[in-house]
Amino acid sequence: MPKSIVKARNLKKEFIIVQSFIDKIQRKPPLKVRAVDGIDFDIYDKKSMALVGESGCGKTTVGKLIMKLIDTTSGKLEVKGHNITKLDDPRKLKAYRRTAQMIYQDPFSSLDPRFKVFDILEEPLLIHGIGSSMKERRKMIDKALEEVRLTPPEEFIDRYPHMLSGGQRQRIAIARCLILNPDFIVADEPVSMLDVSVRAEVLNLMKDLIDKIDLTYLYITHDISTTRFFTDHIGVMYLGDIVEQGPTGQVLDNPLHPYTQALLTAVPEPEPDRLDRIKEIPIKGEIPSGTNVPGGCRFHTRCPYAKVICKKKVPKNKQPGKQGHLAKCHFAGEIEFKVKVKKLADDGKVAGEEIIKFSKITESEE
Amino acid sequence: MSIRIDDIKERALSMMKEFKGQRMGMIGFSIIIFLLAISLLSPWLAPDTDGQWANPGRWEDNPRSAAPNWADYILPGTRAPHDIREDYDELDRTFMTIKYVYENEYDYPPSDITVFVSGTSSESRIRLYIDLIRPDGENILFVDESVSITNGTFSYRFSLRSSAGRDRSYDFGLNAHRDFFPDDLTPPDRESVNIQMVPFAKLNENILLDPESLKGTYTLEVEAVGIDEYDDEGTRVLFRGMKYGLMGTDSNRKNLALGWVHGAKYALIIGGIVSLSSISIALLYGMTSAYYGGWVDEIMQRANEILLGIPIFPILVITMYAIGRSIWILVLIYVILGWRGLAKIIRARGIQIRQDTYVEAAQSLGSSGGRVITRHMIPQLLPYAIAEGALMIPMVVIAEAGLSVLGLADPTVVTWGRMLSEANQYHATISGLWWWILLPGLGLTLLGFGFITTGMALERVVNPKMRQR
Amino acid sequence: MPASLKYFILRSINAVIVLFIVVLIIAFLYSDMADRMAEGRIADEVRAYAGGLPTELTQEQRSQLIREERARLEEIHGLHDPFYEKVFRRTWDTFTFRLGESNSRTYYGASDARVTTIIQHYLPRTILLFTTAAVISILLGIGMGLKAAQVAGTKVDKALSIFGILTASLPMWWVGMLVILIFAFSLGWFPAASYPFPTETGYEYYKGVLIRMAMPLATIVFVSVGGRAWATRNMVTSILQDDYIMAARAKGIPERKVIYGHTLKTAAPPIVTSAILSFLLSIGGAMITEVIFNWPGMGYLLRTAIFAESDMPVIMGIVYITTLLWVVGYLLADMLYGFLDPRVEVGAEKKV
Repeated sequence: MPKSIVKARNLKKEFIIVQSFIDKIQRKPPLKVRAVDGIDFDIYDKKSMALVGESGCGKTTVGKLIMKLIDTTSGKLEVKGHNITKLDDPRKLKAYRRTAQMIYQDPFSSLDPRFKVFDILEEPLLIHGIGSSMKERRKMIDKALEEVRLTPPEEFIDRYPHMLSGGQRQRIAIARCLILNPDFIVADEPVSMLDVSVRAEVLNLMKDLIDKIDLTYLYITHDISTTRFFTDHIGVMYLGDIVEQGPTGQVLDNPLHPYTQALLTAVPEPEPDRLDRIKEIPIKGEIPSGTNVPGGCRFHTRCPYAKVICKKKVPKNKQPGKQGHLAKCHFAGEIEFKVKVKKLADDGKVAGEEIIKFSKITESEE
Repeated sequence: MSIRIDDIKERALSMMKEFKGQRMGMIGFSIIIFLLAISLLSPWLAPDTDGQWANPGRWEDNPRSAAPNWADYILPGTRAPHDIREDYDELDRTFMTIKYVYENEYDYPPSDITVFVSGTSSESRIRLYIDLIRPDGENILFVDESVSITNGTFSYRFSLRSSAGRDRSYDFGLNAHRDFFPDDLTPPDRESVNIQMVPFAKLNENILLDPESLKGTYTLEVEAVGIDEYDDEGTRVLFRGMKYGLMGTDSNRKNLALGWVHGAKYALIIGGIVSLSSISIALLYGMTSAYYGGWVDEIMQRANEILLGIPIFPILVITMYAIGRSIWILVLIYVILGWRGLAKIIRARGIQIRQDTYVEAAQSLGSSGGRVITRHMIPQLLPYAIAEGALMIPMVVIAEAGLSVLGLADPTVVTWGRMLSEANQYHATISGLWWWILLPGLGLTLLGFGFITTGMALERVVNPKMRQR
Repeated sequence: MPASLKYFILRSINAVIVLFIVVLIIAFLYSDMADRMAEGRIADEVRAYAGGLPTELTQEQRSQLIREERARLEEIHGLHDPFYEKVFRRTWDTFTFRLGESNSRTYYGASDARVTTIIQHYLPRTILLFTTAAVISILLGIGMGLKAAQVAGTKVDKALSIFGILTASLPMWWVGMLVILIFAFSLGWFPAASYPFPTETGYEYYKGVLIRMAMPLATIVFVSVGGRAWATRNMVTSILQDDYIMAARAKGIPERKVIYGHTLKTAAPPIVTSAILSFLLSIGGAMITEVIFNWPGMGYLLRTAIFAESDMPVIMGIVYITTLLWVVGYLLADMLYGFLDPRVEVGAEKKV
C-alpha cells in the first residue's frame, strides 16, 4: 500500500450567500450552498487522482480546500500527515505552500499582466526567500523554463503574458509551480481553456513530470476522456459528493453509477467511422442548485433508473466489483444501462434507432 | 517584505526606459519639470512678488501695459524698450543744466517719461524747467515751476502722464493740428487722443488722431535755477518702454513674468495637494470597499453616491465668500470632495482584480495579503489613480482661476487666475492687451497638457497591454 | 415593486439628501451674517420708534419703552434662539424659497429687492444662453462624432481627436477672453459686452439679443463640441467592434445604416447622458463665461453681488438655485439613462 498524501474524511464546505443590505434589514435567513458535502477520498504518493464532474459540482472547491485558499467548514483533511484544516499560523501556511501548488484553468487571468515572465517566476522565489542573488534565481528560472520545454529560456524571459500563446502561458503557470519543488499539484482544468491542438502537449508535459520529478496531481476536469491519460484514480463528483470512485481504468470501463455512465456517453466518439451515429445522453435537465440539494439520492431527479427508494434513502458506498471501486448508488452493479443511438443516413437524416444495452459488470478488456 | 533594493532599482530603470519611448509623454513630462523647476527657483527668479503684488510701490519703475519684449518679432513695428537713466549724459555747471539724450528709433516711442529731480540748495525757492528738444527742432516745455526748499533739499517728480504732462502734450499736438486744420472748430478732445505719443509724433495732420513716431535724437533738459548740486541718487529719468521683460506688464505696471512664476508655483501646490490627497483617499476608500465587500461595501457606496451628487462649484462659492478668500479653503473643499469619483473607479477595478485568478495564484504561492495588495492590486490600480489624479491638477487650478474671475481671488498670493481676473477687471480684452490674457492662460493650458499627456503615457508604461495598440 | 420605480425612489431620496446637505452648509455659513443683518435692521426700526414716541414722556419712561421695543423685535427675529434652531430655520426657509431680501439698493435692475425676484430676472437669460449652447453642441458634437467614427483612423479623425482633447482641457471663459480679443477688439465684428440688454421691442430686440449672444454662444460651443464629438466617436467605434454589428455588416447592410441604425440605438443612452452630465459639470465655467462677456445672467449677477455689493442674500440665493438645478439635472440624466436603455436596471444590484 503506497503512502497516502491527501486524506479527506467527511470533508464539508458551505458557502453563505452574501445578502444585500435590504435583505439583512428584512431579516431574511441567509442561504447556504453545500459545495462540498461530506466526501471521503485518498490520494496516494505518485498516484495521481482525477476529479470529474459538471461545472458547479464542487470539484474546484475541493482543490481550493486542499490548497487552503478557503477554510473547511467541517471534516478532516490531511496532507502528508498534517491536518491542514487547522493551519492558521501564517508561517506554517507559507511553509505548506511549498508542498502543494495549483495550476489554474485560465492562463490568461492567472498571470499578472504587468509582470514579465522573469518576474512571474521570480515571485515565488522572492516570497519564500529562495536564492540569495539575482544570478542564482535566474539559474533556477532558466531550469524551470527548460523543464516546461520553453527553450531557450532567454527568448521567453523578457516577455509579457500577452505576448505568449495560451499553451505557453499555461507552461509558465506550471513552471511557476515547479520552481518551488512541490510534492503535490492541484491542476484545475489546466487545458480546458486551451486550443484543442495544444491540449495534448500540455497534458503530455504534465504526465512526464510525474516520473521526472516525482509529482502527484489532483487533476480536476469536466472532460472524463482525458483522465485515463495520466491518472491512477478517479472520483466522479455530483452536487458536492463523490458518487463513484476507484482505479481509473475500472471506473471508465465499468461504470457503476448512472451518472458516470452518462458522463461517459457524452464523450464524443474518437473513431471517425462511427460518426454516423448519435448517442442520446440518458440524463436530462440541469444540475440542481447547490442551495437545494435533493433528498435521498442526490441524483434521483435526473436518473433514468430512479426508483422509490432513491427519493427516500441516501445511498451508501457499495463495492460490488473490484477492490477499491466504490459507488454511491442503491443499485450499483445491478443496473442494465441503455443507450439510445440514432443512426444517420448519408444525407444526415435519422435512418433508424437502436438501443445498446450493456449488462452489469463486465471484465475490462485490457 | 522581501523586495530587494536592486530589484526596485532595476524595475524603475526599465520603466524609465519605456517611458522615454513615449514622445508625447516626454513632452508633457518636460513641461511639468519646467514648471516644477521655476516653482522651486521662484524665490530667486521672482523675489518680492508674492506679498507685494498689490503694492503699487513695488512696480513703480515699470512701464504701464507694456508688451513682452518678443512682441517685435511677431507683430509689425518696433517698440521702445524700457530705459532707466541713473546718470545724466551731460551737466552744464554754468546754468546747472543736465541733459539726457534719447535716440528714438522705434515705431512705438516710449509710453512715458518720468523725471525725478532732487538736489540741494541754500535758497528758499528754486526755479525748475524741464523741456524736451525734438529732432525736428521743436521744443516742448513741460515744467516751468517754482519749487520750495525744505531743510536745504528738494525732490520733484514729473511724468508725461501727470495732468501737467498731458496738458502740455495736448497743447503741443493741438497747435500742430491747428496748423493743418485752421478751420476745425471741434478738434478731438483730450480723452480721445493717444496723448502719450504726441511728444514723439511727427508734425503732420494726424498728430492727434493717428500719431506717427518721429525718429531721431531727443534731448531732455532739466534746469534748476538756484540749485547748488544735483543729488545723484535721487535724480533719474525713466523712458518707459512699450515692451518690457519676458511677459510684459499689466495696466498697473506689474511685471507679469514675475507673477507667472508664482502662478506656476501655486498651481503646482494646490493641484499637487489635491491630487495626492485624492489619489490616496480614493485608493484607501475604493480598496477598502472592494476588499471587504458585503455591507461595508454597500454603505460606503451609498455614501459615495450622495457625495457624487454634491455640486462642487456652488459649495466653493459659498464657503470662500463666507469663510474667506483663500486658496487653502479651495484646497480643503477639494480634498473633502475631490476623491469621490476616483474612489468609484478604484472600487470597480479593485473588485475586478480580486476576481482575477492571478490574485488567487499569488495567494497559493504563499503571498501574504499585504504582498498581494502591494505587488498585484495597487500596481494595477495606481496607473488609473495617477492618470485621474493628473487630470485633477489642471481641473483644480482652473477652478481657482474661475473663482478669481468671480471676485473670490485670494489677495495674499499670485495665481494665474488672479492675473486673469485682473485682466478682466481692467478690461484687458477691449484694450487689446493680449499678453495679459494669453500668457497666464497659456500657463493653465501648459499645465493641463503636461499632466494629461504624462498621465496617459504613464498609464501605457505601467499597463503593458495598452502599449500594443 | 418594479425595479424602475424602486430606482427612481432611491435616486430621488439621494437627490433630496444632497440638497439638504448643501442647504445645511449654506444655512450654517449664513446664520452669523444673517444675525448681524437683523441687528442692523432692528437698530433702524428702534430709531424710528424712538423718534415717534410722544415728547411728554420722561427720559426714564422713554428708555424703558425703547428697551421693550428692542426686546420685542429681537424676539421676532429670533436673535436669542439657540444656534441649531437658527440653522434649521434658515434651512427650512431656503428649502421653501424664502430667500430674503437683497442688500443692494439697485435691485440689480429687478422690480423689487426680494432675492427670488432678482433671480427670476436673471435666470431666463442664463437658461437661454446655456440651453441654446447645449442643444447646438450636443447635436453638432454627435454629428461630428458619427462622421469621425465612419472615417476612423484617417487624418480627419485624428485631427478631431486632438481638437477634442485640447479644447476639453481649456478653461471655457479664457477662450471667451481670447474670442473678445480677436472678434471684438481686433476685428470689431461684435460688441465686446452684452450688457446692457437691448431696449427695443420686436424684431430689433431679437436681433440685438442675437448679436450679443453670438460670441458667448460660439465660445461655449467651441469649447464643448470637440470633447463631445470625441466621446461620441469613441463610444460608436467601440460598439462597431461588437459581434452583432459585424453580423449586420456581413449581411451586407450599408455602412450608413449600420452606424445610424444599429449602432446609434446602443450608443444613444450613454452619449445622451454623458452629454447632459458634462453640461451640468460645466455650469461653473459657463457662469464665469457670462462674466467675461458681461452676459446678464446668473454668473454676471453672482459676480456683481460678490464684487460690487457684497450681497450675502443674493449670493446664497444663487448658490441654492444653482445647486437645485444641478441636482434636478443630475436626477433627470440618471432617469433618462434608465429610460433610454431598457437593459440597464440601474441601482438594482445583482445578487450573487
